[in-house]
Amino acid sequence: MASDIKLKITIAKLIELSIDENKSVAMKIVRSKGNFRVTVDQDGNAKLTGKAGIIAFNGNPVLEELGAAVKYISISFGGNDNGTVKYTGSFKVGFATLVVSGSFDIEKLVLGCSGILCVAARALKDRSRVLRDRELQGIMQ
Amino acid sequence: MRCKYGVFICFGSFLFLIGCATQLPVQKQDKPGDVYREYIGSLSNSSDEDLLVKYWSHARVAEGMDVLTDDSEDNKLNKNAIVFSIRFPNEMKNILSMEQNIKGNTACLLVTGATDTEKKLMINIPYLLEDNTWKINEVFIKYLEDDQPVPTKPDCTMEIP
Repeated sequence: MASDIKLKITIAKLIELSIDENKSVAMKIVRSKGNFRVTVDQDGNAKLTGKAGIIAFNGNPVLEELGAAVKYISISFGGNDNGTVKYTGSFKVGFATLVVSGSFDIEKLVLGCSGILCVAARALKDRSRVLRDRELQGIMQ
Repeated sequence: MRCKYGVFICFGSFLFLIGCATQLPVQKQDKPGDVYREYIGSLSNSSDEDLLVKYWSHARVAEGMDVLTDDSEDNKLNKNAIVFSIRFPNEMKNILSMEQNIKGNTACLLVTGATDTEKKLMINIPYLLEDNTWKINEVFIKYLEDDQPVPTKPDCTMEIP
């Protein structure tokens, strides 16, 4: 899988993990018209920050899937226009900083979170991961 | 009048000779773009350690060598990160353009191209002049969206979003 696609799927999964941590606040943040941000440090401590609040969650399950240590991740989201959210994510890996940007339909993404756990979070624990990765690849433009 | 011009010519020649005598010998020095092309050529037949020592700055060698030589399971992800950094040119399958800015002992090289999935990407590489050789100090890789223009000027001050 190409690196840019891998990074975009990571961004989607981080949002899903934040929703699993606190669904009501996370939904308010990601559905708001304002900007919001996800940051992760090298120990996997992740934060979703927006006007509606802050959610701290464990980003390690997603970082481990990347297959390389990440020093930090910083993703800014904004421009929610009819449900389409634009994003720019920056990943520091070793001596390299990788930047990806794009847009996605927030409702399509949170559709996978209608149950107790988001699909991606469940998939981290079973064999349906490849299938969900393919779905997320389609959502994250 | 002839004598007056003669004095000027003699004096000018004298200064020229002094200048030549005090000038340091000029050494041929490859530019960052040349070094980068050589680096790409070395990727397939050089070890990670050799690439790090030959092409990266002293600071990165000091930081990366211990990680590369530690084969413990606990260090696997850290090692993968350094190996990915060293082999970063592999992200770009085709090079479209190269531009460089050199200011004293620092330089910025912009390489634009495409990934193996035809995605546009740009790589800005800050270089440091160490031991009379241009060494890579960091790498900024940006995957561009289809509607994003491909930059033409090097920019090694990429801001974190």
